[in-house]
Amino acid sequence: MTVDVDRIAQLSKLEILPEQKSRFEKQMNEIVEMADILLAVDEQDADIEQHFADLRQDIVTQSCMTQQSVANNAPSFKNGCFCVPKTVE
Amino acid sequence: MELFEYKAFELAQMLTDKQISSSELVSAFINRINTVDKKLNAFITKCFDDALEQARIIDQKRVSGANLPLIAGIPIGIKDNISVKGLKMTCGSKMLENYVAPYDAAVIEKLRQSGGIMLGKLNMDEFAMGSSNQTSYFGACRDPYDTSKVSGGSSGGCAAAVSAGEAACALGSDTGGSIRQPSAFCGTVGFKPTYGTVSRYGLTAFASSFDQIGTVCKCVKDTAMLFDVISDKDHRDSTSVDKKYNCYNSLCSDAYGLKIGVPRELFESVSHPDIIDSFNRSVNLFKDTGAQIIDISIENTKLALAAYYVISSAEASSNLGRFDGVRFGYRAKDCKDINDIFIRSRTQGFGDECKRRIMLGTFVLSAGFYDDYYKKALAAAKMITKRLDSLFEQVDIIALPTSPETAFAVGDKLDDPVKMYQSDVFTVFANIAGIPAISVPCGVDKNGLPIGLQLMSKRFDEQVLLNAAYAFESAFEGIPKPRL
Amino acid sequence: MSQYHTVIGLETHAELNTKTKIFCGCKNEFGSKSNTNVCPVCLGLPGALPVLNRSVVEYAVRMGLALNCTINGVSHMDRKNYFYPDLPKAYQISQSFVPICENGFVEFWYDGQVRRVRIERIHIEEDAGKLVHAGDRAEETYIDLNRCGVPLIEIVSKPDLRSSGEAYAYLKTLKAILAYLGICDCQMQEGSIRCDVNVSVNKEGEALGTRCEMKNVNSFSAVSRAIDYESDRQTELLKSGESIHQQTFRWDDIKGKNYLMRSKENADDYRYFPEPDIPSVFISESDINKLAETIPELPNAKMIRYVTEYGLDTKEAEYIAFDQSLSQFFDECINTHKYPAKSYCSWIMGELAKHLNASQKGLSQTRLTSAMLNDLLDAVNSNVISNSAAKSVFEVLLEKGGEVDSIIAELGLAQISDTKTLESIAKQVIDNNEKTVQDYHSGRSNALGFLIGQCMKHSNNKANPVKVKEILLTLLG
Repeated sequence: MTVDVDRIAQLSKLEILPEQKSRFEKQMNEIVEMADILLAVDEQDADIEQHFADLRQDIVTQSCMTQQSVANNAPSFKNGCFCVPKTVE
Repeated sequence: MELFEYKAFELAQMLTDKQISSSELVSAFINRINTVDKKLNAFITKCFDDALEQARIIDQKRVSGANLPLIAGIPIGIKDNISVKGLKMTCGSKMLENYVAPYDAAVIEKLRQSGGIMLGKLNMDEFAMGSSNQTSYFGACRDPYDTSKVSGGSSGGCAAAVSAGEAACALGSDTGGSIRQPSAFCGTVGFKPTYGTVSRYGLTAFASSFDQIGTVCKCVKDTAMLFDVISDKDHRDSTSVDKKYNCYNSLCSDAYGLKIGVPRELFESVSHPDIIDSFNRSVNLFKDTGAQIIDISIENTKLALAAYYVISSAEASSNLGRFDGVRFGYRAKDCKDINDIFIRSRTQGFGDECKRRIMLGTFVLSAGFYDDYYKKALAAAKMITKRLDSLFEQVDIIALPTSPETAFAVGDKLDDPVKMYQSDVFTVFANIAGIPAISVPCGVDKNGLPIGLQLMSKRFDEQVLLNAAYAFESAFEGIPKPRL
Repeated sequence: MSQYHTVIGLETHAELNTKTKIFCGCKNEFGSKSNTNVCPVCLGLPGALPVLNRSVVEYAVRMGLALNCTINGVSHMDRKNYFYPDLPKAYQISQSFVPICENGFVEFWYDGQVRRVRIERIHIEEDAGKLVHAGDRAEETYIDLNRCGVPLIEIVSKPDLRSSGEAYAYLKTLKAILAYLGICDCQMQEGSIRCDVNVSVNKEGEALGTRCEMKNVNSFSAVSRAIDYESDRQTELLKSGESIHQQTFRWDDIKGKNYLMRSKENADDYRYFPEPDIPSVFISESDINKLAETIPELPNAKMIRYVTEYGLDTKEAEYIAFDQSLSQFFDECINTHKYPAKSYCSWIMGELAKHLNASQKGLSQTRLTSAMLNDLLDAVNSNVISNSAAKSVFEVLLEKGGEVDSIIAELGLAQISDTKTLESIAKQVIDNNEKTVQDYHSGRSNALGFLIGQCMKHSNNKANPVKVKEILLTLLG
């Protein structure tokens, strides 16, 4: 199964430069070939003990974050908000 | 003997007996780091001032007669994917080069409560993806036994630091062998507990179903001491289980009657003769202690590797989506629109291995391939787990080499991912099944490079596992210290 | 007669009004200062993990029960992966494979009959943040993540709706049910309820057409307009022999047009997979039964009952049924069996509605009880007071409550119905208005009205106008 590197890169929001593309393609295909052994697996229902999620009580807890601490790591923060170039929805 | 050469439990005794102060101890480690780290590159961030301040506080408490936990005053290193409030957390990546963690991970809260002292953040493969520590944006980490060789990864900084005496012990993370393999390379004891016993809150996620925080220490006693501190139920982690351990006080080196399963057919793939030799000698040592050796068959090694890589890449591709240049982390310059920010920040911020795994993960989850790869990988993982569970009905412990090789040269294998992935062949089982596993030094190869013996037990059987490791360690003559 | 049929399916997102967000303990609150109601979990910071809020599960189950769904005792959370600036983790935690509720239906009164729309599923998921555009000429977009992690239920209908009017009725029904259950504050202007609208058109007798989607339509009337627009657009295309491509649009309600967001070729691949950070969600049979007990008779069922059993018209039935306190009051009145439903209805739709509208209050903030209304109707029926006097008494009942008799006495509103008294007034009026009497006898139609008016005036408006008329007619001969 060959990997469509362009489409995958697009979905992953990554750009693979032309000079890297054939190397990436080769490596990805080798890895996928290694994974092809899975195709023969029979999916009979393996029942392992099911662990259920512990649900949280609907009680407010104090957050460790303030607007300032949010801003501290932000690449661009103005008027209390993160900033990006104009995004058309 | 230098202070940094002692084991943590020995230092704990010395502190309790007031033979040394924590300030002296921390200073000794700081000096050691300043002396050797330029050769090793184990530390990404150092927080020496803070460490000395913490040491001073601990010393004061001791002077005023307070009864302190064993770990109080002990200098510890933290892998740089665990959140420590106020310190940079880079995950070994350009993407988070300047990210300052705004909160403490659950394990860090526990360390602080018990008085453990953090010396700094340790080097790692980028976002924990790798088995050599060469993918770190901050440069490779080196093996103290031979600094031309890799430390192993992804918790390379942890293993190198503990091995070289730069920290008494360290907290790392293990997703496919990331604590055990570098421990084998650097001659330390690397332990991955049962999935769910240590909270993942504050651990940067790589593969959520496999990630566990674990310990890198000089010996099994230290391992038990540190594990007891960090293990506990945490309501902030939905996968956390309700089990509190007290392994240190119940540690016992009697292996008489212990049933040890050895899956011989797995070693067909091992080409390194020293590894087979040292493994066989270790098995014989166990026999001498009275343990019973039983031949078992695990089967499906290739399947395990494939399942591991498919599941872990899939989860990683999703977990790394949040690094998009918008709210924190690296943002590329002069972006014209939001798509530009996404693509250029991620392309510039991530290294090749990360990109490869993200793309592989995106591929196996994508429409048309999900059923073939991801769903089948989940089924394979269940199969392997069931197989191991049934084996543990016959044996208490499964023993095998930690790694099919010893530390290799820096620069090797960078361009052959499949080859690199195959070195995880012995470690991925424990992550897939969520069982505890530990690597203890069991010899050195012809070149003096350490070799690790890996022991695994069934889920929640940490006491049995640590006892077995302790029994081996007590019977084994040990390996030489690294000469730096 | 149009040969083309419109088929509509709606995906309705409702924000649940739990105290905290779905996966963290941050307050679930609208209108806080930007980026102040956040924590590592809803910000998607490295190392943060989601923990599911029990109330979200319970609210979703109650909605599922209200919509006659099968409740899945074991359901799963899944990740929906895509990149967008309002989505901090680059994935939304939702339910794709096994939702908490499925295969239900909702019945509501529309166009003179009971209509049934099947519900495909209800699932729980988290809301994303908000993009704030600083105007057309701004270079930047601002992002506020306060809304990240607000719990949502998504109610997916099967394509059973056939017109924009029906879709509107369906949505109003869902909103009324949400309000009855108390699980959503239904503040449309705050975006509590949002719809994605799917429309297809097919020629009569043919298979379902290709559907197009319009995203994030924020009011019910906008949904209605969007459906009409899209239905027209597709019909026109089909009429001219063209085919419909599967497309996703953004509906602009101000311009009244659709704008293309993406075609099938550019469609996102969400790469759904099970959320590894959250184990399976379990709710026991007994917990489900306990929740079922908390569900009252629902507004859609009430509305159907009011129309079919009591003969209320659609507008009246909806007005009363869709307001929990009004319908409770109405049902109480009916259960006293004293007066016909229509009588109670006319007071509710008339004086009560006027008062509630003017005071911007709900019924529960007035002092009115069903017993008081019955007493008032008794007084009117037995001619103790006139209809217009009754309105004054009603005002007092609303504001202060009390005994109807005492209020009538206090305000001196008792009607004069005594024949002798009325005869004497009438005689006086006749005597004083010779000309009008003559006009009456010559057939002037408004002469009688004038005389009645004069009698009312002489009695300070207390005379029983019906009796006055009777007496005048008798006296005038």
